Amino acid sequence: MTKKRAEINSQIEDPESWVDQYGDFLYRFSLSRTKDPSIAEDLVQETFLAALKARKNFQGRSSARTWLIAILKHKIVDHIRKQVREQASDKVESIYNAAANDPADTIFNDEGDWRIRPSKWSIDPMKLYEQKEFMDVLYHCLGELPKRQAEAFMMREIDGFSTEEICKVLNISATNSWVMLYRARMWLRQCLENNWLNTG
Amino acid sequence: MSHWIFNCKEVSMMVSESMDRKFPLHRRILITAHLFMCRYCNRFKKQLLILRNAVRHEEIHEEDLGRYPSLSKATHERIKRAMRDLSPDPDPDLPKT
Repeated sequence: MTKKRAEINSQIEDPESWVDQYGDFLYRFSLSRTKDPSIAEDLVQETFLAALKARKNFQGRSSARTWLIAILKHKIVDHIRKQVREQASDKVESIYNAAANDPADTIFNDEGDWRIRPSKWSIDPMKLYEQKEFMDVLYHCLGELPKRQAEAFMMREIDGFSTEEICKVLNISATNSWVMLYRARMWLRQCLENNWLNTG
Repeated sequence: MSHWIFNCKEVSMMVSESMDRKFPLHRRILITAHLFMCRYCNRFKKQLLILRNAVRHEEIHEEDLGRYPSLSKATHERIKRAMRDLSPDPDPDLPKT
């Protein structure tokens, strides 16, 4: 058995050690997004419980920390989605409709040219951690995506699933998955532009 | 702006799709040519990559690291208790070290 495999097995077999090793980091990450200590704690607990249930799936392709953060990000977005839904329902309904329909319909004209041209983003991709507002708005926008679109997007971008894996989990065709991912990206890009660029 | 075969809407779809699968060479050349000539589609592509990097990001803002406290010892214990309650027996399917 390789040293790495032995490390992975030992991590899998002693899940409680995750709390000591990663609990504080997950909590700070959670707090930085939710801004509420008790919610942040609950999400961390939910993350560890979900990880415990899914520990057989942890193959050591990524580090345990990366795996746990990926689970936490799903929890955070689920939480934001619930919050968004609890707010003014009419507004949320219109947001959901806009996101569920093809955002490209409003962004492009009938000839397929940009009707709403992408603005220039003054952001250094290497220093995203310094862009607090950008990250806050991004998570809020993720929370506004329809559930299945958000799931497809997060499975692809956070969990690194292939299209085939996404199709299997969501029971959709490959073409359908590309359309869902396209709509999610279009929506997120536009949502960021509307909510972050105007305040940034 | 229509360049050669594809218009901007089509290119935006293909830019997204190219992040999930590999296109044949001739299509990649046509997309690249469009991106070379169209700054808005080029900007769109860069922004999708920023989005990808942002959601994969794991670091915490330095300011927050200092500001946000750690989990209390009691919370550590509470979470461990919840984990024990969920899984009283070791999973027999797990690989053995």
